[in-house]
Amino acid sequence: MITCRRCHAVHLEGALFCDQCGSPLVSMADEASGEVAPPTGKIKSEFFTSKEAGSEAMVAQNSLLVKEAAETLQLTVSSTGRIFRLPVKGQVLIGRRDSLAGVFPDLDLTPDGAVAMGVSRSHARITIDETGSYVEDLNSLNHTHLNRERLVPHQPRALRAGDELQLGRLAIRVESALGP
Amino acid sequence: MSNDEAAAIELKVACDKCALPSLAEDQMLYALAAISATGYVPPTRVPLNLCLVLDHSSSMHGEKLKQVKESAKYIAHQMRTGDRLTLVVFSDRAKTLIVQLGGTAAQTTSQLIDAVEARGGTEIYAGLTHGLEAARKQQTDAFGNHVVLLTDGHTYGDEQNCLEAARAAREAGIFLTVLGVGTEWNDEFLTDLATAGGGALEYIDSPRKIAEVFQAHLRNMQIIYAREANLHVRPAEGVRLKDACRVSPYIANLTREDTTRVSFRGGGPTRLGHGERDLPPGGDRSSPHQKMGAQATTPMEHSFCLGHLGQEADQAFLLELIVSPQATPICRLAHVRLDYLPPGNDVEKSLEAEVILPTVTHSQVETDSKVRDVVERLTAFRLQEKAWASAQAGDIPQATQLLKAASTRLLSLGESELSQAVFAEAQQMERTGQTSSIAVKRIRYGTRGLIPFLPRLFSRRNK
Repeated sequence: MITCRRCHAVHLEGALFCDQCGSPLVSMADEASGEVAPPTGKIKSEFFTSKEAGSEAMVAQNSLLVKEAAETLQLTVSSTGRIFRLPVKGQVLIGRRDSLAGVFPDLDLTPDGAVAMGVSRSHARITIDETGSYVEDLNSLNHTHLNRERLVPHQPRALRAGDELQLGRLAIRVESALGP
Repeated sequence: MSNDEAAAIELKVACDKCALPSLAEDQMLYALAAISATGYVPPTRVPLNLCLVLDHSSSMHGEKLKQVKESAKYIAHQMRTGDRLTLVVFSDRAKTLIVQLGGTAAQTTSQLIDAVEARGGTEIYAGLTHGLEAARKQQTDAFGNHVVLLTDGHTYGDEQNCLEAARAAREAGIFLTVLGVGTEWNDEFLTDLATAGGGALEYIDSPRKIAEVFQAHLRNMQIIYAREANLHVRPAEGVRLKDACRVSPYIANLTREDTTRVSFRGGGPTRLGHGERDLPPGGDRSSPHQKMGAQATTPMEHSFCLGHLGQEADQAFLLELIVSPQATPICRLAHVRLDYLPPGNDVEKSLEAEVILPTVTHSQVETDSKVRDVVERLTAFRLQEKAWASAQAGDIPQATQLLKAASTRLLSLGESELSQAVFAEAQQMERTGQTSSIAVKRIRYGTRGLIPFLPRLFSRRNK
């Protein structure tokens, strides 16, 4: 059985989307193997943990970080269900990896189909400080939208739980990370 | 996979997985069945027995009635030798305006159409029964028999009678297409009516599109590849059909026939049962928990009426199968069959396809992105349908949440404009506690037509 991470509705193994809330479903077997959303690129584990890749062992390893990040936000890639927890403080570069060009974003969306969805190498940046979280478009080709409003490049906007980000055509939900 | 060159149509089935993980519990499998014209044999033009049932109630006044009249004249002039056209107009009563047999319209046809004026209320049952009866009078087996109902309004108190009349006509070989103009018509009722009548429902948001829609439907009715097509799905032992839905050219529920074939377990006899319904309309709604306790099921055959397959023959159907734990290395999961009559004769033909997958011990099975995409689009459609149902039941918070979920799915699918419209409607509903009938129709008919790329579905392997 698969339990929807968002609304906790129960579905059969193999079901692709939750019929209650529409979220993509990740099977328990996939989750345990960690193969659905392996962290790729130069992911800075001190910044966020990949919840999809979070086997029990991995969660235990990162328990301190998880605890620290319990009051922060998390990003869910709508199409794949990958979840990324943001740090309590710092900056996260979002984009797609290009080793030839020397671009290694903190959050690499390549496994989520970033190329096809029009995500730039250095697409957007999230800054988290004591006053809150902010998203800033880095003059990307296909733009960043926050709740369907196109961001003016290099003008940070406040980011809150419940917001919807769109990088090119890739949709990302912003949710409260209340800990596992 | 199978094809029949002589029939010029092809039936293919693809699954969301290339192999079935060997699990100790039930699992879901999605199978996409597609019917398309191969183009090897030119399609045949069959004589047409067409009855147009046109609403001329007072709400049709102005541009709407003008466009309807122009379209009716166009269709009358498109009739060929051997065709039969009946034109019925209705408001709170119905009358036959024209019966045109075997040829293009006479001068008087145009004059009679021009003389139609907008007046009275809307009683769909009066117009519908009059039209169906007119079509029945002209009906012969050699003809494509169609009734096209166009209305812009609600009907009150006779909905059930309308549905029964449409169902009876379909069983007698007369298919009903429904065209809703403007925003005031009752789309739930007309959707049910088109489904009962074995045809389509089309939303025409602007009078300017009336002629275009009429012409497209006429082409589709005149040139057909197969008549009275029926899709049969027989899940293997230990497999259940949870739901079946048309997903292309638009998303719609299927009309189930009342005949199911029951194979007794243990290799016993096969019998035909009548009036048995093992799949409730709209699918099996029992919870996964209930399924978990269910025993392996007896295989049954589910039959779905597809009507005539016209020029726009490419159609796809998503079958949601629940598969119990399988013990064999190769699993035959379902048998899919298309029965139809060729345009030129009454010798029934069949195309068949098997859903067969190998079982694998690991659970890492790649998902076919095209099938996944279809499932995601269907999910978006179902979420917005649930949202309207919740709104109607007065649960606005739930409706708002469902619309936002649908909006997220649409955004993820790259349907930014529609996603935005859905989100705006969710916000509007949150503020006012009400739905707008224009938005409901735009969103419903926008999301149901989300799968326009069927010909590409099977064209290449997913990488």
